[in-house]
Amino acid sequence: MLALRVGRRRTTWESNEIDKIIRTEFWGDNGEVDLEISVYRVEQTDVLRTVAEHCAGLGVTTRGFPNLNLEAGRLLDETPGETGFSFTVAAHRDLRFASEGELREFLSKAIIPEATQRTHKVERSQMVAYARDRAAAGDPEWVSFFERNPRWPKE
Amino acid sequence: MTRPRSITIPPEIASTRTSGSIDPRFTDDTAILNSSYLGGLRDSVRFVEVVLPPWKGPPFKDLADTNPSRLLELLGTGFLAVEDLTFAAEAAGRISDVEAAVKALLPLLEHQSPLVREGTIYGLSRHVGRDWVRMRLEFVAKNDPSPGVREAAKETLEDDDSRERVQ
Repeated sequence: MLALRVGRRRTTWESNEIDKIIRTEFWGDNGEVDLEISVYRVEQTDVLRTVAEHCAGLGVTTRGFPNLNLEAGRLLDETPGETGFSFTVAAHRDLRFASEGELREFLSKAIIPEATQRTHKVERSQMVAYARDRAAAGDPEWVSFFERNPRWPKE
Repeated sequence: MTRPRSITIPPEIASTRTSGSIDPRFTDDTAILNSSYLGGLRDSVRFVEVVLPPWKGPPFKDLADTNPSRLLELLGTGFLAVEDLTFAAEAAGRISDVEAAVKALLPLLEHQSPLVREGTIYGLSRHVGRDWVRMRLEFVAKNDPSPGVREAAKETLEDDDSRERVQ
């Protein structure tokens, strides 16, 4: 099982600079480091579904960002997701840290050295095709989503 | 020695932290990386890093809708850290004054940080129907040194292929 963190930028992990990674991928809207990291507990076969539901349901930028598997033996707290899709609502977890130092150590020791192997990339075109296929197949969640957001993934 | 010029730091940025050995006569208020500042360093000091603190103001998306001139100003001043500038550039694509937005964004395609160049592509993605924007993105897609930036440009161009183009 993965602890999948949906990415925000393609270039974040090109440098392996811990400060840049934290400020870009683990930063909250309040201008502070996010110590409750939102992840999805999913199988590798569900990565496309997870990322598509995350981007569509939360109205975030839908791009082919690298998504990282943060599974490293830490406890994951069950917290409901906010995507509106039942699968990702149920699969949502929080990966909690006591301090920025603890997060920094976790990323430096467990994640960054294996970043390439932990990356699960999903292209925007794959997400769009998946969503349209689900709607065409009569999936009620996606049918409802497109009724409310006919222009998706365009804002 | 050239004296540092007066600089007004945006209120949303509390202070500027510096690392490295600098002339103590320079205060936080003047500690912005520019030629005057570097001229005040001792001869033995050749490296100064200015670390801009995180943006504490309203979300950039909100600024794009409610105070676009402020967002455009921020894009050009150099006061935003690259980790903020990437999201500010993306948000600037929402500004209703398209001419002003594109004018502010295009220079950022040459920013030294790939993170900023990537965010700029997302900001420009709403305006790919403009020939000049499309041409610039086509150049970036082929020539940017960052694989992530090239991919972002290619994705944006492919996504927009079905749109009607405008001058």
